[in-house]
Amino acid sequence: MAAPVAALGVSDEWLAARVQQGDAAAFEALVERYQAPLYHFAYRVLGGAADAEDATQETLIQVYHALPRARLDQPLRPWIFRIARNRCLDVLKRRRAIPLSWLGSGDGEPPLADAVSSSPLPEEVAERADLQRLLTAAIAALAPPYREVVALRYTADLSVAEIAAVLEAPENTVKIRLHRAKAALRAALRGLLADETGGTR
Amino acid sequence: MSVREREGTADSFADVERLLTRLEPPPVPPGLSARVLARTSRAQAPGWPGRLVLALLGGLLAAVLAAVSGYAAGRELVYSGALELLRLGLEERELFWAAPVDYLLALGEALPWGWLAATGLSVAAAVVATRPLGRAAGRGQPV
Repeated sequence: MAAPVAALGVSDEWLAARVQQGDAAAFEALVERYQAPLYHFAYRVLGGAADAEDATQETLIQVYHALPRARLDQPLRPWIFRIARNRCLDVLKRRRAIPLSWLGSGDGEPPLADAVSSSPLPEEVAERADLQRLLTAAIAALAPPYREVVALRYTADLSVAEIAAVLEAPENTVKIRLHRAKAALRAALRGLLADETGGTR
Repeated sequence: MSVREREGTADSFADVERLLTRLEPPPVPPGLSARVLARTSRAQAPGWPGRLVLALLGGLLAAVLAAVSGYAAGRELVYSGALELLRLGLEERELFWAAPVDYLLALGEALPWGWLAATGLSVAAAVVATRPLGRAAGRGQPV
């Protein structure tokens, strides 16, 4: 009975309240609603299908166990993505891909891997058939804190305010990270193009 | 900052922004939600229907215990003479007022305290056990 409930366009908080009352169909509707955005987010942050699938699964199971104690007077979406982010950070920590100092509230910006490029991208980038591959590689080349804001904004479609709630950081920090992430993406795309055309970065 | 610089800052990442909006989401693995639901249903604590059945059974058991202990308490009240003592105390007040301490001591010895306590506890247990039924009725859930 999840599909009709999900199709009604009811709010996440209403579904969560139903889950708290023991309504299994409401949880099924939440899973249907969130599995894709969570998977897309995890895929971009972790850069692999298998890890993303595991992280999504673990996130949804943690949501299930935490929902009975969840506060429903606050938006559920950032709370769910915060759980997903923590699962992804666990995976990255296991890979030793991020220093522990980056896991805090976002005070002090982590370093960018590449120098910021101010010159615009060549027009032909947008025309390329393998644009998706290029973009995926460029996002994967970002440092994790920048990768996660890009993933939250452009694959999970969260607003800046929602991302700030997920990261438990000020909105300005999110804006700065997005700005720097785009600069780094441009640099990465230029680098990838240069590599492919045999040039030097 | 010049007008050109300001325009450049505002528009400097329009090209990247355009590309990011064209980012296609990776396909979600088939059966992902089914696997999640299978795991959560295995780990499921007794839901409302389960809890209501438990409350009903607990309430019934407590009610049976209350009935048995109540019957035994009543029988002991008769056999021990406590009931007769109570009746006398109520009907002939002068008997009580002549020696109230002796009367209360005699009543205290005759009363079947164990059975009375068991009856009281069973009634309290029945009330506590059936509370979820009352809450479910209040929420309009099927009982």
